[in-house]
Amino acid sequence: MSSVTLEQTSKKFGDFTAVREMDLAIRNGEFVAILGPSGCGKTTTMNMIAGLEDVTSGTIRFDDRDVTEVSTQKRGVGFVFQSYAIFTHMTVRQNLAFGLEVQGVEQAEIDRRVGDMAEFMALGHRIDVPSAGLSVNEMQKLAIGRSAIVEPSIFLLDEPLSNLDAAFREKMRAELRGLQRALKQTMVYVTHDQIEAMGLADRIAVMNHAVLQQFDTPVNIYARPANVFVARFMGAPGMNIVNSRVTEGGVLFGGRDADFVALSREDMATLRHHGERDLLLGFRPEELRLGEVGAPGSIAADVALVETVGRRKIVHLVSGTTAFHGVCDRGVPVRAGEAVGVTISPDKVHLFDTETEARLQWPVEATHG
Amino acid sequence: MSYTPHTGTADALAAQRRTLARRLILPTQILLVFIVAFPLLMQVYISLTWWTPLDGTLWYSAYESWNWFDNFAEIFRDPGLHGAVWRTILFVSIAVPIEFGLGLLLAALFYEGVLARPVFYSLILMPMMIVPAVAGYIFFLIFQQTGPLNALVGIVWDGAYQINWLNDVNRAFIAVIVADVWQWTPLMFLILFAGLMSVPHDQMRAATILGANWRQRFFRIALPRIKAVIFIAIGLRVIECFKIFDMLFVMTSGGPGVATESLSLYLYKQTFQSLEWSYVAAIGITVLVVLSVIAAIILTRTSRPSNTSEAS
Amino acid sequence: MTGLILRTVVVALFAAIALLPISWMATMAFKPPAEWTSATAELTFLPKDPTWSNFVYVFTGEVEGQIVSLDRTVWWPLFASLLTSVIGTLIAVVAGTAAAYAVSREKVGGSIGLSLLQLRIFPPLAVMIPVMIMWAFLGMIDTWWGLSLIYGIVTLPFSFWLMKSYFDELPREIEEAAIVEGCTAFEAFYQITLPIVVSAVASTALFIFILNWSDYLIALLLTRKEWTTIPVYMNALATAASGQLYGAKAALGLIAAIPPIILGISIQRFLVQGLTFGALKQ
Repeated sequence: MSSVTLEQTSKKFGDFTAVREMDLAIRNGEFVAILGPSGCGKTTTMNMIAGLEDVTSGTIRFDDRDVTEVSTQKRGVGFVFQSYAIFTHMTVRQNLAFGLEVQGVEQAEIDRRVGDMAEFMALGHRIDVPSAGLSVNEMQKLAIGRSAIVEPSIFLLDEPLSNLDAAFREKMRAELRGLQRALKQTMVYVTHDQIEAMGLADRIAVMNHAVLQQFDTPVNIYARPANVFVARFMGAPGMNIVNSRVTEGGVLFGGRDADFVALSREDMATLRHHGERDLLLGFRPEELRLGEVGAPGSIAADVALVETVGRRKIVHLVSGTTAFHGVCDRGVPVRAGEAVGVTISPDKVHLFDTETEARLQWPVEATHG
Repeated sequence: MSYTPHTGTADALAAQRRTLARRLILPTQILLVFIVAFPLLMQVYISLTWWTPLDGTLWYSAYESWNWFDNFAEIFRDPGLHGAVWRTILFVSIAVPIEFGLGLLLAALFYEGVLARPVFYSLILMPMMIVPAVAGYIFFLIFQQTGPLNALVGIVWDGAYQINWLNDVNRAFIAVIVADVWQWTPLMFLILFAGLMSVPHDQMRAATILGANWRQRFFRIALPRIKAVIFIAIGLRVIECFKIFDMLFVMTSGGPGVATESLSLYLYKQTFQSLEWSYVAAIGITVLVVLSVIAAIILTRTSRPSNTSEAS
Repeated sequence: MTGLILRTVVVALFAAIALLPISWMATMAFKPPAEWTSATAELTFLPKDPTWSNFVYVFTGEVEGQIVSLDRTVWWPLFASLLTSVIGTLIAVVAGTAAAYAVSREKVGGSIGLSLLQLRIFPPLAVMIPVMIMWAFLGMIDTWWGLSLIYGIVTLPFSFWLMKSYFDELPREIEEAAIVEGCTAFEAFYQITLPIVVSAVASTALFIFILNWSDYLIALLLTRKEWTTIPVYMNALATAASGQLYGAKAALGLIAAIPPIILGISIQRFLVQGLTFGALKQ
């Protein structure tokens, strides 16, 4: 296994830029998810790592080895396709042996390793079955086993769970995680499903419009999103983002003369120092509290709609012209048409720049006077 | 009155659709009976007689020269027929493999990618669109002793103008094979290329990532996956090649002597030169039986692996 | 990159081999008699002295320099080819489409599909004796209807199997919806289903026209003089008293070859399907 480093890697298809100047350092043995909406460049990124796509500019390294110009066959990566790409005209055994055979491994060695891998993947009893007859579950295992048997330095998986139904996906997610630990592989995993990424990955690389937005642990991505896109993309529903204005008296919620939002002491101090300005205020729906109207430090809002989803309620709230969501337990007695007071804990408030939509970091760069 | 069709109207509708289907199929059934049932009976009838249009007896009076199975016995004794069948088989077993090989090579080249692909694609398909009789004439021109091929060879070898292609037993056979290969390699290419394009892209990429080189991908993934397509392509060519007539008739008329006389040409000569119609009818029935058996085998084999024969 | 160029070079070589024989005939059609063989002049690919005389000869029957005049010009065989190919195509497409629909929807007719396929497998000469007797008996030898009818029959397997592959892909619900709305079964077929497959019918018709136009053997067997088609007429021209009429025959060959080439290229995407009876789609 090895580490993977992308330096200023770009991919253009004619005038279209699929990946723009990407820097990504994946550590040895790490399980990384590349997450983003469709068309964001995540699959192109993975294809470039595998060598299925040439890079337009930049460098890719496995450990210290520059593989930018190395052909796919010689890179030694494992790749599990979304379709699994099982060779359906072969048996399970022939599928597993294919990679070793084309690399000229001795027959006795092939037999031994194929046997071991089939046992490891719990396919031992199916080894001489035509692979076209396998279940989706078995196909996925075979696809992983076929890649793992050649002992690749890194393992790439393209949405491997998207073909499975919801209940089964849950089970396979756990299995995949266990597998990664057992194989001790560096794994890169492409998905558009944030729950999958959150549950599986050591670190998540969030992409949008060809650009890497943030690369961090699931906890940090959730707790400290680097920009408005990440904040909104992660979580269901995503983070509320509302326009606000910093005034002498404090931060105005929704940018009108209404309620002030309580901020942490350092936030307030720094903001005051910079004087009046607009900014974007972010807070997670699950981190606001609903209470009495007029409760100290609360924002007055009306409940527009309440949806019950499983054991949670999604509360659609309106304060003046600003709409946002709240999530609370099903037991909380809240009904449409009610007026409520919303409180947000000061340490759960995220501040973003209105123009760049980037997270405001302290000390803030003095962009507005 | 009800708008929802209950069982009664549903049955009536099914009956109406069935009646329509029976009517629509009727013209084809009539044509089939017309061209198969009656002629087949007539062929069996005539094959059991000595009838020939020469004696002036009308065909339905053929029973006057009833001879039971003499014609069929003659099939086993006729060296002319045996020679023609042998030459046809030889022709098929040389021409079709060459066509397949070249067609596969072209398909592989196109699959890997060439510049100006649509242009070359159209150009390469052109020979198969030529009327076969015209193709025969084209190669008749080319293989003339005073023709362009000898002129071309003459550039490197002075004695070339003496090479006699179509009047030499062996060279004439080579010439007709060249002509057939020229005309029908495009058909092999067309079908095999369509087959290759249907191989799932992910499987080829998966093989690449596992370390397979071009040759291993082609022979271990692509080819086995298009087995059914290969079977169809070769089957079609074997059938058509076995029937070959037009091109040979125009190019050599079977000559010199009988050097390029295929089964079809032999039957033509028996029909129009020897006027042995009852004997030709007997040969026809024999060919029919043999080919039906072969066709039955082909059809049962091609209808089975449906998952690999679908191109998209 | 070098691989791409190398492949292109090889393919270009094949394309040249595909084209050269055709072009030899094409340029031959514009050569005067002196340039026909190397017996009279050094052979060149392009005519040194290009002329229309070969075309004039086959279209008018006379041309300066040719002692023998043709008693029949190419006009009538051209018309015969066109007429019999078109009518044969109509018969095959109409009967084949109707039967394909019936079999696709109601599975009537037993193994009619296989019987049709067998028609295609046998060498025509093995089964032509009774057909010739029948055609003579019915007075159909050397008539336009006799030739058209046999063309329609021998190309019927193509139209049947091709159209069946299309009808099989269309869901029955289309017609069922129409019938619930009050159509009769025939109206549903004629007004709903048929318009959907009309482009497939057109491709099938063009493909079958090419097959009919390309025939040589059947016209040779079932026509005598009046209704000979172009290929038969072309080959018969060789026996003219003045010896080989290379240029005139090349002109005829060109006239015969052009329609299938143009039509063939226009339905290029359809050819795989056509040639494999709809078993393979591109």
